[in-house]
Amino acid sequence: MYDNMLSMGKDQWIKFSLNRSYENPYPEKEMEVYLRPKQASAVVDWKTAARHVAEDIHASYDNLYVAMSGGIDSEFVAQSFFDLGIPFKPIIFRVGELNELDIWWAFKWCKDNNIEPVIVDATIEEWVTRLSSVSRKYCGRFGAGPGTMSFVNDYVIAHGGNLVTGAGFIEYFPDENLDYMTTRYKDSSMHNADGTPKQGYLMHEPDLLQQLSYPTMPFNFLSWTPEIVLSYVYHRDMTIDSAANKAKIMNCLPRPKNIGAPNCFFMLHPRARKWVGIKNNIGTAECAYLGTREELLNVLTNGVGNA
Amino acid sequence: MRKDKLDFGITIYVERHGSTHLPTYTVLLDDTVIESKHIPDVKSNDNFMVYFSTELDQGPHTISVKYDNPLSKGLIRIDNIYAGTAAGGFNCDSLVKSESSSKTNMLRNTGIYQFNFTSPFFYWALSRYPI
Repeated sequence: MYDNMLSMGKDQWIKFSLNRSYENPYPEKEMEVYLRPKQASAVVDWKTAARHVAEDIHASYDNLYVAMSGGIDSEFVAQSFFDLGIPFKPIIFRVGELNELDIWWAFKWCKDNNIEPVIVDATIEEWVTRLSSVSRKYCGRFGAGPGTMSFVNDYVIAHGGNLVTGAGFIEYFPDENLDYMTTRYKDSSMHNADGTPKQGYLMHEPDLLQQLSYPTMPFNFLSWTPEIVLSYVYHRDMTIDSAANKAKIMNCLPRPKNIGAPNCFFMLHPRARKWVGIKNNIGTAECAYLGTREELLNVLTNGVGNA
Repeated sequence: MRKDKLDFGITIYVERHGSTHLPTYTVLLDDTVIESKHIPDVKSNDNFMVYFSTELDQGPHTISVKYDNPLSKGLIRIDNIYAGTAAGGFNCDSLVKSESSSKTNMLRNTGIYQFNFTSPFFYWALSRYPI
């Protein structure tokens, strides 16, 4: 079953498939992600797990770029390389003035650490065209993330580099950050048949699209190894939300995050609005369910061998 | 096979015809008549709206608007087809001409306008974006 699936991470330990397509618009599961570590992992502290990832990526890939959105995840990735003295270039995507409130934090980090970032600029019209074309190509409900990352990946490829990001992070649901999956629509992957929310971890559609579009990039630092995923799942404080957990575990200041553009932009821009009216009717899921905390701890601490 | 549940709204622009002989428009989904109506003379140009909900099998479908006006001078023009669900929808105004089998959205005398699409509707629309 897993041999024919797509994969990501070190040694292709995460298996996935995107099942929603023009030929198969109503699959039973719109996307699937399976954690398939061959070996057992031990619980290590978060910083150790991150150091192992940074060293592993540095050993296997040269000319590293780190995409910085201004969020905690990518700042932590940059900080991890920086602390180890591993050379990399921060790369910041700017779309008009749409995401200026987000990327302010990325510029601040670069300034504080005296590193000149690469800036990739696109106009709002170029960005809307790109995000909708990615959505059209893959029948995707998400556009902004994969669209943005395609500009960054294209730049890095043109400069012979390898892109690392804060994307590919697994998230816990339910969570305040993910309330939109219940309020704006009801994500079919994350709700039971009776409408109650599932409790467990997920991976988002844009992460799968990025891996599918740029399969050679080591983009998913935060899920690169079973060890770093295990460390997060083990250390996540289940009494506080994910934003607070990330700030605490990754030792970064908490911050608001729009992820590129506020929702009102999509309601006001004519072409974007039209795309939203269409894509909201494409499928019913924007993520794949991975399992409960206990299920993840079990598979990560035991491994699956060669099964 | 899963059905495609949809709400359609059709905007028909009607020009003043100034006649006591009332022309007729008929809206069909494939071979099923959705609405057939005499068009009274309007004081000025006007828009008629036709709404209907449907469940479609996957595959090709056609929304047709027939205009039957043998005597008076008026014309009608299909300006927009809105397609929606509870999750939202969009105006197919830019598709109205391009998806017409006759490539025109204006009808005079006795004519028929046909909007061709494939179900699931929104997958079909996405495949055509930007629209």
